[in-house]
Amino acid sequence: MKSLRFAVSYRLLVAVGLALCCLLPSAAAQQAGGKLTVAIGVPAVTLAPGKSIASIVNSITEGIYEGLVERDASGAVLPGLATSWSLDADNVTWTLTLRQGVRFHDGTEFSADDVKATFDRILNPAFELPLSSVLKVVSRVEVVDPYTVRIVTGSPTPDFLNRLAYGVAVIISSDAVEKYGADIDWTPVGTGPYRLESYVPNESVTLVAFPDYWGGAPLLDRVEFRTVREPGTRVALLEAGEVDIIVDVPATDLPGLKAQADKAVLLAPSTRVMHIGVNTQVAPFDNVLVRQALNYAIDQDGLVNGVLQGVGQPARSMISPVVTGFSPVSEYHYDPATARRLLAEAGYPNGFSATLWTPEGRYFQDRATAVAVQSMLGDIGVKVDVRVIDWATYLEILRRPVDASETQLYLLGWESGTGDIGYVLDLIFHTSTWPPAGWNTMFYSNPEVDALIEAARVTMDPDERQALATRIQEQIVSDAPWVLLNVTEETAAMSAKVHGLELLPGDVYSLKTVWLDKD
Amino acid sequence: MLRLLLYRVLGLVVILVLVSLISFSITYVVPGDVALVIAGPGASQASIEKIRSDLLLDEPFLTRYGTWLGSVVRGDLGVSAITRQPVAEIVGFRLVNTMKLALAGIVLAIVVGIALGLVAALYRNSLVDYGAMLVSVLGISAPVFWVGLMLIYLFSVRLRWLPITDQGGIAHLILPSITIGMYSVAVIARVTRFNLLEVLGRDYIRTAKAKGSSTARVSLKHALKNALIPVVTVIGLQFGYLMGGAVLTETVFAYPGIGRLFADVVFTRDFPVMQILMLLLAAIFAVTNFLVDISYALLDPRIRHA
Repeated sequence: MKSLRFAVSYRLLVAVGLALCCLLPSAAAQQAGGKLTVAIGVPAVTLAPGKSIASIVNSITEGIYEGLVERDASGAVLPGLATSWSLDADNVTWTLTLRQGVRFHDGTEFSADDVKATFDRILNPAFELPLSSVLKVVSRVEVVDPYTVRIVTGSPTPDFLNRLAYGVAVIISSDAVEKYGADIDWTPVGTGPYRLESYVPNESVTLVAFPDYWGGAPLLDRVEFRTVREPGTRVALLEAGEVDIIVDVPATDLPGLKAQADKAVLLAPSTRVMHIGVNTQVAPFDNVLVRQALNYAIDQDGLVNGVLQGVGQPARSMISPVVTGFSPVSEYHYDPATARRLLAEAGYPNGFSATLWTPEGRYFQDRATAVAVQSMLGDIGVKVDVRVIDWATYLEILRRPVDASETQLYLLGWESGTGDIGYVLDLIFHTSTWPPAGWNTMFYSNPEVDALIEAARVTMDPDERQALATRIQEQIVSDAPWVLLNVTEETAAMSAKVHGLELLPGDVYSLKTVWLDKD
Repeated sequence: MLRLLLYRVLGLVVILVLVSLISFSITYVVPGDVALVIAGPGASQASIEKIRSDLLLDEPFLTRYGTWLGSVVRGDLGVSAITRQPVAEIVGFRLVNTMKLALAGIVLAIVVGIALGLVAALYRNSLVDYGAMLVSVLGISAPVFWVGLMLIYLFSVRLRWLPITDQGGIAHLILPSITIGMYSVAVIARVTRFNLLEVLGRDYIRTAKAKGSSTARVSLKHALKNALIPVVTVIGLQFGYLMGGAVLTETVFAYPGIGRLFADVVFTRDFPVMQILMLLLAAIFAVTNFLVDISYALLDPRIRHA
């Protein structure tokens, strides 16, 4: 919980920052204007906050909408549409002071009513926005005066600011909420530096500078996002100069692009951790020694450098290093001898047979990863049968209740949407989230971990909460409902005239700060 | 002729009804939980249930089919399950785009294909013939994806002569139409060559030659006219194939047509759009075949009077 501490020292930082930018010329002078074209790999099917499950779509809405608070690339919480905030002694009442003189794209002025309307939309049970669950802790929103709101949570929520910074909580004009409700897909009215100019669903979205932006004139005239599914075509478009930025670059093209002087490459760890989920309720996987043995059998470095062609990092916990609360707790290392000893101790000196499910084309090198795992487990005597299953069926069979489940081992990646450990703890590791209620598809249950998760949920002191987070990670990694593989990395390549592109927590690209060299 | 027309129209209607039934059934046939895919990992059980009821997934089959077919016949194609846009709007301009591409491809295929076939037949068993047939073998066997990427690499990335995607104008149609038309070029060339050779061996050609007509006149006027009847069939079938088989070409060139839309909606499990597209593609194929049948009868009196 750096965020609370940060709120205190924020004024000092701003003062230092102002001093710096007035005294020193910046390394490269920022230029305004120009059109930026970005090729993305998935279609933008909606711009409605809280609806899209594709994080790249949040990179588009990042330019259109703004939240009460924001996070920078380091994860620090910064003021957004709220300039300051405080928490009452009851630990559930947050009072936020709102920024004045902010206009929405429809010309109306931003005030506390818009915050209330936004939260009413998110919490409206009739809408059931797919991503609204992280804000269900909010029990009510009160308008104190036009520039002050009070948000009350049902219980103390230490990662509340991280949740507010999450894309689902961006502020929508109350007029637009009233008019469009849940289906505000293609009629966004936000306060961001860019407003929607035109769109063709599944094909492209074009944003144009919003001249009345409170933060001054935006850095670009226009931004166009184009969906180009085929990775080879994205690379060709960049090389032919038809687009300025491409995302999800094929690993095989990265060295070539890096070598070109007029191109730049961005590689940044995402919040996603790839793992082999283990059904902890069936033999032989109900034995913790077996699950630990599987972890010792994995050569994470070999996986990253081989199958993943260097795009990724070994996973040292069940969350990514960029997630608040992370501790590199894993003591597993590649050690087939230890793995075999643990198997023998568990009563399987000659190994056993198992089925490993994997999707194909859902994650970078997913099937190849499964095959690599098959061979690594083969080395310790576990004969693995890899079965490729299409994504729709995959989610359905993983989410069967425990009595109906046929799961043994499965490949999956989990992101921490809010960039905070609380997200995966509540969604995946607590006993109450066994399917169909939630996504604990390992059917993992440890009462001690449950108690710790419940404690972490309401522990406001940052140091105490970090201690709990570390303790939880140690216990879960040691109980090994997951065989840890790797943290994935987001890849982008761009023309050298593009500046200011960063990956923000929650796997969102920072559109607001991007600018272009003039030709 | 009238009877033939009647039979063909009747057949067309039966086919379309069967296709509509099959298109509609895909929500039942496709494995996995549609609502789960739309909601995505991490979604709550409540939002999954909501999507299921929005899509009427719990209603009985015949009720849903009847409701659906009724609105389609009335011209109401429904709304996308993902983007909430009217399906007619989603499909409309892409259909036009795909038609443009298919037309460019088929024009290329007709011109180049017939020329190759003609030259190959006239200079039978010569180097020219072998060369033309080698080109056509390559056209049939080279993977569309590979050809598309190679054309992009050569003409867009290296030489920078042609754009990959729409930058205004029609230049962006050139590479995709070559990519998509290549297979049809090959097929048309082979069919033209085969039929021309067959016709050239006929008695009436010998008669024409005996009367003293020039070789060029015989080949072009007497022989080609008759040899082209089967070619028309092939052209019709190829056009149907180009309209429906554009998925790969449209994907490589990020071209907004119905082929790529089909691939997209399969990924996102957007069933309302998928059902209309299946119906549409099957209808295009059936109607093209129907027109080929009719034109065949018009071109060949033997069929008309049969």
